[in-house]
Order: sequence, then structure tokens, then C-alpha cells
Amino acid sequence: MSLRMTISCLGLAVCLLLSGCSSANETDEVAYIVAIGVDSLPNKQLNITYMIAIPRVLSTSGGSGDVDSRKSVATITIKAPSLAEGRSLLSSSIARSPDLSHIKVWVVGEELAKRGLGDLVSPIFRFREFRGSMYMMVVRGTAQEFLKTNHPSLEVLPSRWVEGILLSGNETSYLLPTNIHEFYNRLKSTSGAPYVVLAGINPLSGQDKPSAKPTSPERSSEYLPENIPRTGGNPASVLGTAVFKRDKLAGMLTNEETRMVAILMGKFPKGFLTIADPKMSERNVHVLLRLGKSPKINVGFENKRPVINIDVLIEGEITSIPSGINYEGLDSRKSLETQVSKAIKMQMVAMLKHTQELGTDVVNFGRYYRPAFNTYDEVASFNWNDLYPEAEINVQISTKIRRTGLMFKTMPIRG
Amino acid sequence: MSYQPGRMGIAEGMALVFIMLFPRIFLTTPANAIAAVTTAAWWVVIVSGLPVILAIFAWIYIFRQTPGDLFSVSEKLLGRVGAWLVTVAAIMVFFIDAALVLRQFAENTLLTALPQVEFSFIVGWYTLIAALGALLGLEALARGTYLLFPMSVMGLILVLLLLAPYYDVYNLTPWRGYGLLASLQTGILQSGINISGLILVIVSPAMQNIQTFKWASIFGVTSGLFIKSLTLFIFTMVFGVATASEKTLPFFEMSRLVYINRYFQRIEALFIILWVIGGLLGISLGLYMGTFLITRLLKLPALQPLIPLSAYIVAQMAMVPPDIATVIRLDNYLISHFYTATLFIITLVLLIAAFVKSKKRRLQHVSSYDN
Repeated sequence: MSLRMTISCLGLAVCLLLSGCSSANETDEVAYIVAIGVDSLPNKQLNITYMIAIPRVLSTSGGSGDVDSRKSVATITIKAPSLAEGRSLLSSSIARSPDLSHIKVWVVGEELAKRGLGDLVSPIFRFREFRGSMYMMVVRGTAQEFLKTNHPSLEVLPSRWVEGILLSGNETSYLLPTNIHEFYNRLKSTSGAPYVVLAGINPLSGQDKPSAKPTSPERSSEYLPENIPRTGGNPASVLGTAVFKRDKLAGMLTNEETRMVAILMGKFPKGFLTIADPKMSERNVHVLLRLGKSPKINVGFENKRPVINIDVLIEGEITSIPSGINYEGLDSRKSLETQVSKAIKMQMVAMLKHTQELGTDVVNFGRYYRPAFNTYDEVASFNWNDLYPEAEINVQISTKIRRTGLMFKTMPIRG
Repeated sequence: MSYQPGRMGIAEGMALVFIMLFPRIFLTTPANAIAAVTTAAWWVVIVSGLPVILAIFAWIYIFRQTPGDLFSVSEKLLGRVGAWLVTVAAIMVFFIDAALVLRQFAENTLLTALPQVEFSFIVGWYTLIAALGALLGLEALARGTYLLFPMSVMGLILVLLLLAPYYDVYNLTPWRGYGLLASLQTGILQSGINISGLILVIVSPAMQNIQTFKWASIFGVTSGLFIKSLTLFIFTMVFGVATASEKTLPFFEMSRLVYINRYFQRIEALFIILWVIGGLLGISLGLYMGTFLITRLLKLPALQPLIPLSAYIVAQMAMVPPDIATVIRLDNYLISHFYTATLFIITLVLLIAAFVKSKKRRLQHVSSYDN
């Protein structure tokens, strides 16, 4: 008995002691890469930009005041034929072993996205240092430029900024955070176009260059990330969606179109809407919207043509009525609800038309038809992506104003 | 020398059965299942367990007619040659299973946690731990497994629940897979994967009575099947058929995908420890069972001196295949051919023999009464 105990304890102790020693590295022997940018070059070369965290700077930031985000990372760009070779060449300039398992985001340049991401994504899923929960974004321009000009003013680490901005997409649904797992699943799926969040570098000139003018009763213009009229802050912007056909970039959706996709995918927690006042068109009404329930989507076929019926319930909270009209009352409220429904429907129809022109079913309507098949062979051979551009889509939007904020009645301004 | 190491209850017996079925959840088996039957994988797993459950009832009948363990029952029903054939087949099942699982766990450790360690070192180290476990004996293994059982199941279910943001129920459609008949056929052919669920047949005298054997086996097999089915259900929902079929380590990939917020992510390191422990217990038990059968077959006086040699043989067998892809293909092939055939043939032959013998006994009893 004691011999058994001794052997068991020795074995356990040895296991515990040795398990951490093999191939161990001290923290100051490892370079933690927090972001990677990939751009295409001629002759099948890649321009790989590594954003490496400088832990020393972060450790002193608490005592000595603010740390500039420029000083918290080092950005190195290497030209190489592949990611593996780039990693090897990176070791020649940094005195540490690169560790890719802390990458927060993959930034892909527009040019490479147009050529195709099939070669890029495959090693990501095979190599142990990469994980499916890493974010991915396509940038208008080059990834190198984006990573170099990304200087957040509120965060110390740019990678923390990326994580924060993608998670804060829930505030507006103007962007759909995407990780590599979701992108890869869409690549391999029998229906549904892959999509990735879109980023850009804003010139900070304050110039207004909308991608589309507002469609009445909507008051807001539509933007891509580099066209938002603003000055000050981080030049890097994240807004909209890049949509792919197979692994190649097919087009881009603006912020409003992305919001419509989010609504149809059931990923719309909230977002403000500014519409023309139904009874005083020169004024606006602001409503905070959310999904009332998951959208009801039915997909069928009539004369070999897909028919998609969409039924969405939107709930709203009135946040501003500059005109002073009493929309909290029952009769006026109905006109406001109708106005909101009209605005959403027009946006949604425009978005769906755009995606049909691109031939990309971003919402993935094809999955709703899967239960109609008997076997998986039928699913695999069903070419939904070719049928989607011809689909007839019927959209029904219902709006219910549930709340009126901290005021339940609007009294007129006198004087 | 007594071949009855103790008087085990339902909980211990159930733990033994469960730990033989559990480790394969952490290997490539779920991905292989989805590649074979696509969206039907989660219920085909249950179909593949039904022959084993029927076999348990068959063995209950056999034990009622002829009490004993696998070797003694085979000897009484089939004679010495028959007993040898049955026992050698069972030894091969346990040793080959232990070797292939050992190899896969070693490769998975290299892939996930210790990429720069020498391969034979990992195999040797795991074999040493498995041998230590086998040396400690059946009751120690049973009770250690019984302690691990709730934690491992809760840990696995936690990972599955934390993947809720990624669920897409449409990935489970159409539920028939490649067709109802094709899926059922594959399920029956793959029933050999659960052959280890009959582990208590080897050591049935160690159980308190036949009812203990019955309920421990049934509970163990059904709980193992439930966990496998749930894992496949969630795995299919999260990854879809195409991506899921590509994964070498489905459970590792699932645990890596967990991301709730900044503070709850990257939890896969916890689960590497969990599946290594589960895997080693399973290998240890397989090693013990194979060695036990050898001692019964050769009527050796003791089991423990044979364990180091058996462990060495299993380790060498584990290192024979040249690469992990060959191991996975070999494992799949042996499950659907050798293990399934062994399950059906041995159970049916012994059942028929027991039935014939009981009929003869009744006829003899009637004729002696008449006289």
C-alpha cells in the first residue's frame, strides 16, 4: 500500500513539475502580436504588417500618467510569399519569439480581398496559434496604412480599441462584428455569403461624402467608414460591411444597409432612427429602435422562382419630438409608427436590391429553406446563391411605439 | 488466487463503463461521425448504442444460465478452444483500442499544448501514468473515475452552453442526413465504437449481483451516449457540416471558440487537463482489462507483474502508425469492421450457446423426472 502511494505521489509530482518546463519561454522572450494586416503585392507576395504590444510601456502607465497609444505598440511590415515565411522573417528583427495566439484582429487590405481570401484563411484554421474567435476586418485601402494610422485617443492599446469598437457595434448596429469562425463557416456553407466588418481611414477633413443621400422619411445619409464627415479623433473608422462572393470581395454595404442586415439576422439590439416628423415634415423625430421579436422569414418557390416573405416587428421608444406634437397619444402615435415602418421598409428593400445585384445573400435566407429537403445531398446540390438574385422578396414591417421616454405628454411651447 | 478484486456497486460500475466511452468525445470521432452521416450524427450516435444495450440484456440472460466472467462463461459454453478465441478477440479489442487512443491523445497533446516535446516522450509518459493506474487496481480506477465523473460532465456541458451565441439550428437540417436508411445502416455499422460498454462482462463477478451489473452497464452506456449525442448536437449547430468534418479536435475547437466578454475567453487550457485525465483513465482501464484477460487465459497467478510488459506492448503498438491521419483512418476502419464484428459475433454465439444449453438442461430435467 505505501509503495503504491509513494509511486503515485512521485508520478504526480514529476508530472506537475515537468509539465511547464518543456518548451517554456519567459514573458520577455515572447513578442505578443496583437494585430496582423495583410495586403497583396505583385508576384504573389504579401505585405504583412505585425502590430506588436510593448508590455514594458503598459506596466509603467499606471504610475507615470497617460501612455500614448503610439508608444504602446511597435508596427513592423514584412514582404513575404506566405504568412509562415513572414513569421520566420519577423524573428530576424525582433529579439523575441513571435506569438500569434494573442492576435485580436486580422486586417485585410481591399486589394487582397478582391483577389480572394481562400489562401489566407486556410492556414488560419490549421495552425494551432490561431483561433476562430479572432476578429476580421476588410479595410478600404491598405491594411498597413490602417494599422499605422490607428491611434486611439481613449485606449492605450490599439487592439483594445478594436475589441471595444466591435463590441460597441451593438449600440448602433452600423457594423456587424465578424470573427474568422463566422467568415469561414459562410465560406463552406451551402448558402449565405461571407461577410466581414468594413474599416477605413478617415481624412478628418470634415467633408461630407455620403454614399447615398437620405431617402424620405429617413433623414440620415448613408456612409462608408472613410466618408463620415468628422474632424478630430482616431483616423481609423469601422463602419459598414464588406460582402463576399465565395472568397472574393463583391461589394460593400453602408451603415444603414448593415443595420437592415442586422435586423434581418436578428442581431439588432438597438439603434437610433431620425425620421421626418409625420405632421410637420420640416422637423425630425428621433426614435430608439429595437427588435420586438426575431424576424419571421419564410422561403418558398413559385414557378421555380424563390419567394421570400419577411415579417419584422420593431419596437420603439420616442427620444425626441422637436415639433411638440403629442405623439404619445394613441392617434398620433399610429402615424408615427407608420412613418417608422415606412422608413425601415424603404431602407430594407433598397438593401435587399443591392445584395441581389451583387449576387450575395448576406442575410442567408437560403438556410430557411433547408428543412424542406429530405437529405443532405439535396442541400449540397442546391445552388441557392445562383437563385437568390432572381428571388421575389416581400417585406412587411410593423412598428410599435412602446415607450415615450421620461415624458408621457408634450405640452406646446408658448410665447 | 482470486480473480474477484472487490464487490462493486452501481456507481462504480457505471463510472467504469462511462470512462471507457467518454474519451472518444475529445478525439476526432465527432468529426468522423459528421463526415459519415452529416446532420444525422447526433441521433445516429444513439442508434449505434442500441446494439450494445441489447447485448447487455443478452449477457444478463447468459449470466443467469452460466454465471462467471467472460472467460469462464465462454469455457463452459464453447469449450476451451472457443474460450480462447473469444478471450483473444477481447484482448485484441482492448489493447488495440488502448493503443490507438493513447496515440491520438499523445498527438493531440503535441498539437495543442506541447508542440516541441519529443513524441516518444509523451507516449512513454502517458503509458507510465496509465500503467500506474492499472497497477493500483480496478477499484481504485473505478473510484477515481467516479470522483472525476461529475466534474468532467459538468465541464463539458459548460463549454457546450457557453457556445450559445454561435448556435444555428438550421445547421441541423435536414435531420435525416444522407437518408434515414443510410443513417441507420451507418449507426449499426459503427456500433463497435461502444463495445467498451460491455467492460463489466469481463469482471462481472466483481459486481454485487446481476442487477448491479445490469443497471451499471445500462446507466453507463446511456449516459455515455447522451453526452456524445449532446456534444454532436451542439458541434453540428455551431460549425455546420462542412466545417465540422474538417476538425481534428472538435472539443478543443469548441472550447477555443468560447468568448463571452473580455474577461471570459481563452478557456481551452482548463479543458486540456480535463481530457488528458479522462483519456488516461480510459487507457489505464483498457490496459487493465486486456492484462486481466491474459492472466485468465493463461491461468497466471498474478496480474500486476504483467502490467509493465503490457504497457510497453501497448506503447509500441501506439507508435507503429506513421502519422496521425493513418491513426484516424485505422481507428475508423477497426471500429466499423473489427469491433462491430466482435460485438455481434461474440454476443450472438454465446447467447445461442446459452440458449441451447438451457434447453438441453430443461430436457434432461424433464426426462430425469419422467424416469
